[in-house]
Amino acid sequence: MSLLLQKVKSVLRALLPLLALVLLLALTAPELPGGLLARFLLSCLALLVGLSLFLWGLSLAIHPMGEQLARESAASTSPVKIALLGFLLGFLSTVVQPGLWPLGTQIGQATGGVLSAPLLVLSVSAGVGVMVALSVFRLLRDRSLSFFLLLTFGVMLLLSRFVKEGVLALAFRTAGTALGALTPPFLLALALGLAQAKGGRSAEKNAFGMVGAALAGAVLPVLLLGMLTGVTLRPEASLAPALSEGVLRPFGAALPSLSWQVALALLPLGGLFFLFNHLQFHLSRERLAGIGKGLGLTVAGLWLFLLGVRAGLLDLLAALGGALSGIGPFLPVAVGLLLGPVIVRAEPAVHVLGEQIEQATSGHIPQRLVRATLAAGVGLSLALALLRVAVPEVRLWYFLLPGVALAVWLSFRADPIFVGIAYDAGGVAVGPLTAAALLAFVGGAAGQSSSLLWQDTVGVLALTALLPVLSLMAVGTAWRRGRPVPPPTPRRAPAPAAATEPSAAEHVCLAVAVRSGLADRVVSVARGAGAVGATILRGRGGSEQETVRLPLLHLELHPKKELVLFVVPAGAHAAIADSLPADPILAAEGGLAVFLVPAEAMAQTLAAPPVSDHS
Amino acid sequence: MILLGEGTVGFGLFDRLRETRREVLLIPASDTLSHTLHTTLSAAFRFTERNRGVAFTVPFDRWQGGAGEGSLPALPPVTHHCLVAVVNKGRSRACIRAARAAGATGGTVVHGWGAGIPVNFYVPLIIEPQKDVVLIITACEHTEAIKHRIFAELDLGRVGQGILFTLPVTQTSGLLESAVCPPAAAESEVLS
Repeated sequence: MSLLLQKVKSVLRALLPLLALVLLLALTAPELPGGLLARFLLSCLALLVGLSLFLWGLSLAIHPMGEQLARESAASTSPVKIALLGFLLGFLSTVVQPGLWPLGTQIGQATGGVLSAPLLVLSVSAGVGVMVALSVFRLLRDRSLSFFLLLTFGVMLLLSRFVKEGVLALAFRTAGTALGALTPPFLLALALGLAQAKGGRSAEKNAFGMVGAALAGAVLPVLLLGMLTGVTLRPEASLAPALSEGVLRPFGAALPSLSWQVALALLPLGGLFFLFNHLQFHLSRERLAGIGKGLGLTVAGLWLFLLGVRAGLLDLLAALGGALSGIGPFLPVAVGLLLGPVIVRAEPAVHVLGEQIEQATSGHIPQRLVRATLAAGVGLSLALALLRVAVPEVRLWYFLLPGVALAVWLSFRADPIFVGIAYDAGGVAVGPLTAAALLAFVGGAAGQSSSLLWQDTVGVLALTALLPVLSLMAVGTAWRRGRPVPPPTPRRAPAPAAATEPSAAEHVCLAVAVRSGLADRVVSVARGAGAVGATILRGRGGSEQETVRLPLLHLELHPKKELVLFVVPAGAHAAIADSLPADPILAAEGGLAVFLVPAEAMAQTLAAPPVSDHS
Repeated sequence: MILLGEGTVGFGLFDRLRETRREVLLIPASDTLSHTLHTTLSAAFRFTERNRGVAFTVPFDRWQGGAGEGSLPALPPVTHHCLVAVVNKGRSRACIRAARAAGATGGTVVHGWGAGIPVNFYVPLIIEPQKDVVLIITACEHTEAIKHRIFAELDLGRVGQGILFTLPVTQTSGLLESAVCPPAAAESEVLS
């Protein structure tokens, strides 16, 4: 099964629930405007093809690009260069995000020209750039993510007390668009590349958290501007898209501006990459061709995907929201609980995050667990936002303030890797599809007549950025408590010596399995005993006694393991194999298993110690 | 022990199109258990069909210290070899291409890390160079050819380019050597 087919399949799995639920609602809801349903089906096709191409392009282009650029900044001797590169990457990937400039113009109108589009877009992009640069430093210097995020969220909460009502919601609306479809996957790849370049024990948990930081970076400038200018929103301002008519016409109407935006979206980042390639990387022609192909696919996929979202999905959701709230005020709340999860499953960045989690943890944390938790968080936030529409007395603060406090508290209790994943999930959950779809549905449910439209609709995004963080932190806390504690490995009696003469192999391949994080220790011990080079593989153990089953989701959790391979001349292996169990740390907590296989190596490569094969 | 890897079935117009995600399982087992595993796994995963995965057995000894020290298991008749090439990241494709040119059918790539050497950049980093570990199962008679081909084409004689070694394999299932189209790479590996 090829990679593309796999992508299409996983995209289908992600889109089908959305299709089914929306169709069910549309068929049971009374009197929808004609043509909406046909348009929705058409847009579903665009979503399916677009999302598959987009994800495929991401793994071909954005992923290697992020990795290369990460290596470039990690292997730099000057802090100025690291900071500049981090800033540029954040800034460039944000400033041309599709939809950001039109939103800026809209906001400019809504605020009576106080916040102009260039001011807003540039300051938001700069905010993202600064936060990306800071997170690069945090990652490389191995500082605690919890404190870093405590600080940013503290500033965010503080600032939000000084702005007029609605500006907080506006800030999250802008931030969601600013991160868009492209920035989160790129930042995820960048963080993974940095973490892998840095290596060591904390590589895993370091691979996450940058998207969350970037989200904060996009929210803060808007709050700051709001505080400095004391801006208020015009009550009649509405950022919900107006309903359009017809089946094919909306597609045509969305085409010209969308095509421009998408075509420009990858230009700065791609330009920077190829510039660096010219100066520094000098990648092989083959790899460059792959990246170029991937960039093309990414653009084509994003174009189709956004076309599908804008031309078909949003209008139907808005119409559905209106129709449902017409039946009963609390009906949308119940539907929202179901609709939120199916929408966020179709979000491209959620796929990328899931795949990256599996990759960074070698399958230790199953992506199903993360997706399910994330989806539950989004469902809850949509339901809460709709509850606020039904009962206007409920304020956004009731949820936001305790929510942030709880998130901060949990971030010190949860498994560290989940803290990063949780903050990233918050950034991913306000992506282009989810943000637009949730806004449309809540906007529809609130009805165009409501005077509270602004806070009602846009508040949903602040909740959506927060609740997945909470739900994932909760799982992370449970995870830490329920983590498998491996039983002490019983010292087995030596097996009866095999009655064989030693085989005539010239070399021996030693495979050493240890608990995760101890591979470095194994290498240094073995080096002391005469080994030269080593290769480390990360995987997970499947041993029954160490496996924990989660009851609700039918998931098996495997402990992380590392496998260290040495190839040494026959005769030298005994010293190395003996040195390992003799090391107190490895013996006590290593869960050590040493296997020997006779091997035949190409002699020259091992002939000249002390040169390791990995110099 | 489960590792994530990639199979490489064939290279066509769309290089990366044909890549497949694989998992490699390492199971330490006794001789009899190994035979049972081969039978049951073949049945369960339908290894006889193309691209379903393979299983193979590498004889090994568990190091216990003390008695039996220094002795390596005597080899049962070796039918195949498992070629292990540890190359710099990104060279795995060239490695497989070389192997295929010399008659190999396919390979599995697992991503790993070379042991780190501390380097003093601005931030003291332990750069762990990323490595691709390529596993190729071949019949004994092809081993030498493939080995030398890879060695020559990837320039493994130069320091830092990678290493290459072979492990004896005593039992395989799911290997379709006569197939026109090369079969997929290892999905399951049994360390006897």
